[in-house]
Amino acid sequence: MIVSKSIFVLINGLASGMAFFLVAAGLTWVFGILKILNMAHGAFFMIGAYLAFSIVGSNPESMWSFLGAGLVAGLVVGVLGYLTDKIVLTRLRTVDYHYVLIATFGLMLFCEGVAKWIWGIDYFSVMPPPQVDQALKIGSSYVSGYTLFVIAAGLVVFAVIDTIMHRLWVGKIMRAVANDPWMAGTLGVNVPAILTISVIASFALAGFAGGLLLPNQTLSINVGSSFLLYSFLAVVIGGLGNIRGTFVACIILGVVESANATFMANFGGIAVYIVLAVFLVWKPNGLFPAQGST
Amino acid sequence: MLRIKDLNAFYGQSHILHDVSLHIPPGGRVSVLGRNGAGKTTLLKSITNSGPRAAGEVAYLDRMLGATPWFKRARLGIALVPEDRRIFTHITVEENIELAGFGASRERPALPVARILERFPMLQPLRERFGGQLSGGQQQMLAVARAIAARPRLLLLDEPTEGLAPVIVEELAAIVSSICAEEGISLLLVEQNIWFARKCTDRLYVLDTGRVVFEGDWAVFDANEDIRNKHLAVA
Repeated sequence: MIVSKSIFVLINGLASGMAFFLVAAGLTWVFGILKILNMAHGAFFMIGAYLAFSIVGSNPESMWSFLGAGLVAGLVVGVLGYLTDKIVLTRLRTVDYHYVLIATFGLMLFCEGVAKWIWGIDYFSVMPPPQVDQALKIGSSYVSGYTLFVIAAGLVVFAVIDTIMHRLWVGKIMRAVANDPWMAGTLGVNVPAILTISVIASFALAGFAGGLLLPNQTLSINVGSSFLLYSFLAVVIGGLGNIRGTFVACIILGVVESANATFMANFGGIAVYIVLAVFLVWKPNGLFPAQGST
Repeated sequence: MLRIKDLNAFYGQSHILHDVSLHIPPGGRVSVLGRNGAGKTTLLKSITNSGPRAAGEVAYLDRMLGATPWFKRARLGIALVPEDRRIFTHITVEENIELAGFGASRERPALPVARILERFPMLQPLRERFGGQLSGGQQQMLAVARAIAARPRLLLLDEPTEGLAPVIVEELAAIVSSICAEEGISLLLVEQNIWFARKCTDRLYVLDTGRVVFEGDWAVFDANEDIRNKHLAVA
């Protein structure tokens, strides 16, 4: 009994963790390179979810149309990221971070207003694509195919970003800009272009995540809020701006949350805060602190 | 190569450089000596447009640099080695050198890593090491090697001897003079180490509280002992 329960907790925890990671990846990327906390990240996740819903409807016909809708949502939100960078973020490159928090908070309210104007305030729900709509039996417990899909999606996104950051030159340059933009520019790296590319990538990830996580919840203006809080916590625990740290932190938070819900249902949601408190005391700079921090 | 006229530089409200004029002929090698706080680093960062607010003329290869941003100046062939070296610690020695390819261009392709390592034999056994695993002297060598790898036309060195062991200072002087001569690189060296400056350059300026107080070659400098006593702290 306890074994099958543990497997259930682990798989559900991994799925939650990967969902958190899909949202947190863009957040931590832009934090690592621009050193800004984008309060509007969840709003662009929400726009991605609505865009994908507009393309694919409530009953996706196939896995391909579902994934395609997510990719288109990612592309469109990436373009919105480019516009946001040009109109808002480039003006904030040299100012104090408080202004950035206020500006991106304002942007979040603006996005929510626009989304209400376009899509209204009705709630929608979306089914998973047919290929992952069945439940699978693992041991004595049943797991939905969509749960496994989310785990796979998180792993793939992590593998792609980690390869870009650690194996490819473009990632090495991005990390050089993250560590020391002045010196990177002194060597001839086009630093403003790298910053803009990072913003586009971060937004595109938010939009793509919105499309992929659509079947997990009711689609409304608040669609991102259930993930966003955990994503912020994961970015902090992971070491602000570190993709690997954020990935590990997401898994920890997901599994802890899932165990909490299964074994201590009367104290729902409390365990992640205990984990956060422990990490803030034990590793105040995060699991993998950014270089240069003490 | 480089002609600076009436350069004034500011950090916030502070006026650091006052009407500095300076000239480096093509292939020329020039030192700027001065005490701490004389404005030497500010001068280099004004040339690269990477810090202070500067007013005045900076002409490079007969072209006014105006508001050209710092990373574009690097691509025009101006390489700065900062005082604090700023080696990237997350990549290897070899990758640090390769990164300098961004400062190169089609007509000035980057020097291959193998050729750079021949020039800096000290770095040869360290090529796979990460930047963060190097000693201060090794980091300084790498910082200079990285700048040279971009095949710059003008090399700006900011107190490269600071904190180095005397034997490394000698090695660095030999490398810098021979590379500049062979690759036709003009050099602007900012130093407090007169021995090193004398080894690497043939003309010098002395800067005191942001103003040029001496300009000439080493023979004239040696003949004017009061320049050294009045404006430079070192013997």
